[in-house]
Amino acid sequence: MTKFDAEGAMGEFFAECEEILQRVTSVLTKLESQKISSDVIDSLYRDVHTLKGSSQLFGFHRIGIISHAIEASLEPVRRKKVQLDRNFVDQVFKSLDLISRILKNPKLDLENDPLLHEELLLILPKLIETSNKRFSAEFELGHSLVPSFDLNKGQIESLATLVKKEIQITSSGVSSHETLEAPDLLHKRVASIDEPSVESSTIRVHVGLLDKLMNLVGEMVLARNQVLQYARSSDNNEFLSLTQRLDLVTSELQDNVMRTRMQPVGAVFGKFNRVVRDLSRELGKNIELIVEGAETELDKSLIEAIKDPLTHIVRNSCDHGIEPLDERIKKGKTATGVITLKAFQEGGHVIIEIRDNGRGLDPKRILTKALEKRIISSEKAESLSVLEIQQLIFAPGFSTVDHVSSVSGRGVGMDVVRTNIEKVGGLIDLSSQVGEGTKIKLLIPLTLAIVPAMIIRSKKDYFAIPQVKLQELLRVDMEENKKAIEKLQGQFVYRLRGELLPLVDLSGILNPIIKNQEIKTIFNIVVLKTDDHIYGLIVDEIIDTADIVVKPLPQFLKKINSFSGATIMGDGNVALILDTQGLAELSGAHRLNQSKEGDSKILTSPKFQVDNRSEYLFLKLSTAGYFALPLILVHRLEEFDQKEVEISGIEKMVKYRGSLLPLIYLNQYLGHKENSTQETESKISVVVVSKHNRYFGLVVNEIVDILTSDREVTQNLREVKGIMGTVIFNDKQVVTILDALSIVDDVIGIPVSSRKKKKLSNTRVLFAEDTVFFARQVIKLLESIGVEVDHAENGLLAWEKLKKVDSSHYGLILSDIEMPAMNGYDFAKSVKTDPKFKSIPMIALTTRFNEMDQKRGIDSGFNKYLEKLKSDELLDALYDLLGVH
Amino acid sequence: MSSNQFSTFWVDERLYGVNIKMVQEITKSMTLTEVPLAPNYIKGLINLRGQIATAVGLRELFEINRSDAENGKINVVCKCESYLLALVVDEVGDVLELEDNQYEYTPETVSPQVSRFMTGVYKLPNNILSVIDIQKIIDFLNV
Repeated sequence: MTKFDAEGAMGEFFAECEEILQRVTSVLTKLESQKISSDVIDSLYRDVHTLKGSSQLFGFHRIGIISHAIEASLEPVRRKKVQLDRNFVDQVFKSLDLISRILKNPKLDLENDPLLHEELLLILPKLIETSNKRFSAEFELGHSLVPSFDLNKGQIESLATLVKKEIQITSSGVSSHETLEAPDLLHKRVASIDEPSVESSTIRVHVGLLDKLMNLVGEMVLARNQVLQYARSSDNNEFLSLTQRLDLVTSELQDNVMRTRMQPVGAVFGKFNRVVRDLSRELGKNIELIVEGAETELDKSLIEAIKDPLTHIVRNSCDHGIEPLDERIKKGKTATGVITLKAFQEGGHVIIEIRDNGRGLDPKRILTKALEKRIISSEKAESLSVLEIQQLIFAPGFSTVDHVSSVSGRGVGMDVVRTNIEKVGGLIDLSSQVGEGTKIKLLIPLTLAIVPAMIIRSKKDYFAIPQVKLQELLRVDMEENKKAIEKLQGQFVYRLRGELLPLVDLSGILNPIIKNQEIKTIFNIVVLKTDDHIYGLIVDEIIDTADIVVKPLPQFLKKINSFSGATIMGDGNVALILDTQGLAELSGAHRLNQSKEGDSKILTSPKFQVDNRSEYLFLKLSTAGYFALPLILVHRLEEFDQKEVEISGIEKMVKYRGSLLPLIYLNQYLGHKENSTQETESKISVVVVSKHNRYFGLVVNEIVDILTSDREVTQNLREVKGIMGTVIFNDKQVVTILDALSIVDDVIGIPVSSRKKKKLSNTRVLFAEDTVFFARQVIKLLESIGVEVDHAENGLLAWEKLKKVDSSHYGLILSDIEMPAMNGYDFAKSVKTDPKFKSIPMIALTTRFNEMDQKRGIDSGFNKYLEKLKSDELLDALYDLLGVH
Repeated sequence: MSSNQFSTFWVDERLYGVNIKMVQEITKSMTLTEVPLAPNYIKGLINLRGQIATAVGLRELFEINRSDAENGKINVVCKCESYLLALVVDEVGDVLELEDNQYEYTPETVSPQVSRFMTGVYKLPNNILSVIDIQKIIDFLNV
């Protein structure tokens, strides 16, 4: 046997052992909880037996002895089909651990390591003993072993010989002579006896070979692309049809070669049965692991890459997530905590969800820790939403556990997890509800080698940007708005939905010497996300998306810190892949982002922007100037044929979604002169709004655009029916804002609560709502019945307001559900768990209005759960809770 | 007596050679993709049948300032470890089999810009061939 062959066979042996260990582990964990079927026991027995046989062949006598002992102790289980007990399984696991330790470091076995020797002597008798105790009467093989354990070295050796003898018997007639002469042959024979016939249709191939195949296919794809491009410019029909065939075959080849590298994620998931089992014993918790979608396939190298991050997340769930038994019972939860591992494919990604039903991430605790560890400044902490606070667990150096346990909490945790996932082009997402559990979602690309990317041009060069880094694409026309791009301390910035977005000019960075003389009026901006910030990259042209094959760059080019790799384009030219993180660092966009925390003078605080921005739908009516409706009220935009309009009595309506949609002609309502064109035009533009569970169509002349403004609505001097006020857009355009809901009320003649509009005096209401528009509506309504309203922009601010006053200060609390800093549920919980305030009635006002949300609202302590903009219901509830009739 | 084969080429009218074991192929100039921000001797990246090679201009590397637009059209593609370098040279010469007794260490008078990439010289009947060590070029690039 040549050296290479020996090594190859040895490699096979290790691979086989690993496989067997994995299989045995997963079967054992199953056996513990399920009823034993004889097939499963037999396969388990057979595996251990194979392990024993092949390890003896390759001279790993220790493994042979251990596996022999396991085999022997399993014998009664196999015969009597009795349930395995925990202690026994523990011992078997310990023995398996020993085997995998030897496998990892084969020299241990050969050099007679005394430590290992002792451990061996400790475990084996225990294994036999537990098996013996449990199944004393039926013990045969094991029994013969027990006396041999005399805790001395020589005896172990004799055990080895004994085991050797056993092998001769068990491997059905293969003599020891053959064992020595032709180990390879025997190995194969043993394997062929033990492996079920189904598996003979598979073959082991070296990963290196698959990698090479993958590379070659990548090249072939590129060559095909070039041929296709050439074929398009040729008018030879035969050539064209040939290239089409080439195209098809190549695509299929690419798919199939890629599939050879795919493995089911179950290969990793299986391991967690053991992890969870061991941890739950160690921590004294009851934890069940549910695995779904184990058959989902993923590239082998990616499976390797997610192994450690996944282990970390699962361990975290066991350690921090699932509560101890007594705590769970106290909370009224099921005694057994459940961790669900779920994998499924979605588009070009595999999604892995790790969900637990434990205590969830407590934002308050995380915030305290983050401040303590100086991960964020206290000013910044105030502006964070619950989700943003929970995301802090991904910050470097974050760990909430006060003591370092052996399980987790070494502070290298989640940031390493995130880095590792992002290294392979994946994403990590987190959501958590206090008291209900945590869900972590990993988005993993199907394969590493081919990456979806955006191709852009800067000057004459083309570059690729990986799609995962891409947030959005913007096109800014300076002619439309000369101040669209502003300069801040020498750096360009753009206001993207109110947030300042630092801009980086790609050609400027890449050609630092040549000053960019070109004056552009239209800017193409690619918004990119890096680890800790977002910036906009100005490029000359956005070309297209493409699946690119990533080729590594030599080290000396990587250190330029602007390119992460290269790829070959369809035309055969090389394009560089941009390193978004490196570019940000080079440009200083990085610095601009960091200054954000301290420099609030220049960069307005995000709270201000979130609170004051509203979107409006721009309309044209017959009179000059623009009109607008708050977009939040708009249900849909529709266009109807004049012919569809039916007249019933004096009302006009159209058939819409199976019922009739009453039309309100805004020109008519506002007393504008009817423009003659509207009558003659064949189509009418309709804005559908919903009120009182019905739809109404507002007929307008033209629907123009959607614009945002952070200006407040200014009330007109003279109150006009149906008009809320005016707003200035872009510093010059004055637009009339229509009060759509009161128009609807007025037209359908609802007696606007006249029958029950009782004035209330001396009633103060605390009101938490982050959307200005809704806040104004409610305040207007409540003030009209004489209620004094104290408005807070979010739950946290409301809670702070409340804490400063007497328990009788507010007669009632109104709250939105989705708010930054503290949401409505948490706000209600805080109020209702405070003995001083818990008797104040609370009403939730929300757009989240399904049964589950409603239930959650009531569970959190809200007395009523109402939909927004239903003034009658709100008043009803208000009168009801305040005891006014 | 042992001998070595060298692939020879000309840069600025001087004769150089690399051990032929390191040379993968010789190609005419190909489309280059420039690498912004890289030093001037990195001429760009080349698609060599799906492999990406880095083109290194020897004129620039040797700090020969006289640039010659006509020259620099030929790539001597060398493979060393995982690196694929395309040395951009003026002209390619013959493959020479040279005996060890023709060899001598680099004379100290050779300018350091070039001698740092050389292992020694071979005395030819009518010329002197400077031996370039690819490994030394790679070490220089990686610093």
